[in-house]
Amino acid sequence: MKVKVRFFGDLRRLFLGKEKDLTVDDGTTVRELLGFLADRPDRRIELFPNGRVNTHLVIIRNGLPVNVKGELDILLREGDVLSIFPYIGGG
Amino acid sequence: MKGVFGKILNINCSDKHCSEEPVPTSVYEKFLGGKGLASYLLVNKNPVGVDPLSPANKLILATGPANGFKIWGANRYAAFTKSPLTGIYSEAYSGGKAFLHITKTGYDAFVLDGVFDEWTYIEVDNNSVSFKNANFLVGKDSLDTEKILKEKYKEQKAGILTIGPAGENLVKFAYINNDFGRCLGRTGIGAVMGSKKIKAMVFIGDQEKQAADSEVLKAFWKKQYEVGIANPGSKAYKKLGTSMMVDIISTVEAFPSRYWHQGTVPHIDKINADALNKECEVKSGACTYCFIACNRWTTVKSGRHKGMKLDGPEYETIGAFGGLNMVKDIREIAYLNDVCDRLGMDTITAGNVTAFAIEAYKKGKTDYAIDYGDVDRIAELLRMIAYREGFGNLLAEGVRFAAKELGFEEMSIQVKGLEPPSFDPRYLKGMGLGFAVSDRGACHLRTTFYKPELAGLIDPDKIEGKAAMLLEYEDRLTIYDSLILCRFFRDLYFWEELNRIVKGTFGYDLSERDFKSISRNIALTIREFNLREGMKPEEDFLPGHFFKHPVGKNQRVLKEEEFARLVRDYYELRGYSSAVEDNERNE
Ligand code: SF4
Repeated sequence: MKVKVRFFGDLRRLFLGKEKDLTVDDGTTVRELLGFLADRPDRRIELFPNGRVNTHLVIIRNGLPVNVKGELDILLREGDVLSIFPYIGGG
Repeated sequence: MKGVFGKILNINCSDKHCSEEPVPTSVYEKFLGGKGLASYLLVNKNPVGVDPLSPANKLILATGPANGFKIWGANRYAAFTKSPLTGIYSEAYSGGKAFLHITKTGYDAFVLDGVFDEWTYIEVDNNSVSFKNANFLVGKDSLDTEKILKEKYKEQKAGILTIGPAGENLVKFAYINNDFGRCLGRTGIGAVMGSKKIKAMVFIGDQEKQAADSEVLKAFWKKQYEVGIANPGSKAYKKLGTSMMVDIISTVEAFPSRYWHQGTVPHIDKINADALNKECEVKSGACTYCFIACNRWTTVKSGRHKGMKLDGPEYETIGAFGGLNMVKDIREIAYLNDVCDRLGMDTITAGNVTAFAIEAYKKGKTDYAIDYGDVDRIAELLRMIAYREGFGNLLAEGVRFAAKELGFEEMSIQVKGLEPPSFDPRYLKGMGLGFAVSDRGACHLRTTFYKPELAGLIDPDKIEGKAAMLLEYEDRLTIYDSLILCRFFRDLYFWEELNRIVKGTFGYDLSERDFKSISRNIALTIREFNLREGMKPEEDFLPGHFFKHPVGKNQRVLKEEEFARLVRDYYELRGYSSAVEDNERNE
């Protein structure tokens, strides 16, 4: 199935663009998707510092925030759009 | 006493008499300082039912127990009064460098009372206060006023607070400037300063506070630097500033646009953090004692404002003008930011007011022709507001008043008279609760609840358990305001860290429970103030617009019963009585 990942902030430089269309297997989780994205050492460090998912990331799936501390094992669905921000601050 | 000076200075502008007043230790134990101390002073010193722009309304300036010590993020001062915009409790905080000079005069707070015969600036040099004629400053904008005084006081190190034309003309959302564009922004504190004919204040001092345990503070300084600099937040703030929020809030369609009709704008790529960094030369800057450096020192690189320099624009200003007013170019938003700064008014309310005026014209409620995105007309309107000319005179009263006069109350988007910042409560329901129950009207800073809702800690739609989580944030941030710490240390300072700060300064060893009971003391004191000044508990709610009109692709709307449940849960946890009980008591 196809999903879209959109990058923001410094992640755009890291992933060389604003978005990526990916084809993944049915049953892929958000965590696994992050694993696919971490295909280079610098990307791995950003997404999985100390081997665990970076809890400062803000992930919005189809307009709804994903709890990066608790819900990373939710299954992706065909057509999902995931927006990934390095951090949320300010206001 | 350790951690504080233990005294305040009363300054009467009418008879130019000053008097020192000790503050009992028991007050600090119950309220800490900063917001806590000032709220206590306001309740006890302000006459009940006072007209906010009359001489008898007190203007209280305070620094906190943490200020004056080397503590990361302890770099603010604050003002408290009865707001001319809302008629209730008013508070505002400002960073930069001024706080240090204010602290070093040797007082924990200043209580300004009365009114001068003619425009005056006040010089506080340690314990000596002089009143100087300010006729040469009258009519000058807030930044030029600071520049002139800065030159005058260049030999001394001074903290300078100024108002612009908006403050002089008692615009209900005038601000107080310090450090060229940092400000006490919300609730019209600049108008209260103007009503006393105070054009500026200059603070010079070399008093040092005594720390209860300077070793604790030293260790804290070292450790927090190491922890803080490694936090990804520090990097993001430095690189993008608060403008990083534009993309996040727009992605979830909670970026209020077209005066609260849309949740995002088509021109988002022209007004986000990337656009700011592309169209302008942006240097990061920091308040004293900060390694995060979120300030933007911006120079516009191209276009008709080429060469313009300013502090900003911050997320809220981008939201107010780029969203609510549909201005499509970050350079033009920077321009409107500068116009507001110089006139000396709050960009959040100003942006709400001009967008309201646009909507009112479109609906045939006024004949002042103006359209979304029309920067020059918006700028002209801002000037008319500051000088109270024509239609500007009505808008200078804020949205609540203008909507009533124009018979356009269905678009009166405000809570208790304060216009909301750029977070749509139809999506961020907890932030909506924050707007509804905050002690100064629609305010995002008392709880900053957009953060847990967007970080996925609690679903924005969820009702169950939300008020309890909001209270956690409110309690912790009330302590921030009482020690006076920058909000953006919220990912670094939890109860344990707050314990260290209080231990090093005051010497008290406070647990989470102790802190929460102090926050509660403060909340109840302010509640008492607001009720006594005529606030009705049913005002702890949001404008009808958010319940009637859905927003965004997902057509989000607030359900009245659900929202009422949030407020009820909050009341119960906070220890407020219900609206019904309060009404019965008042009868
Ligand atoms: S984070 Fe920003 S506002 Fe806060 S103290 Fe640092 S520079 Fe000032």
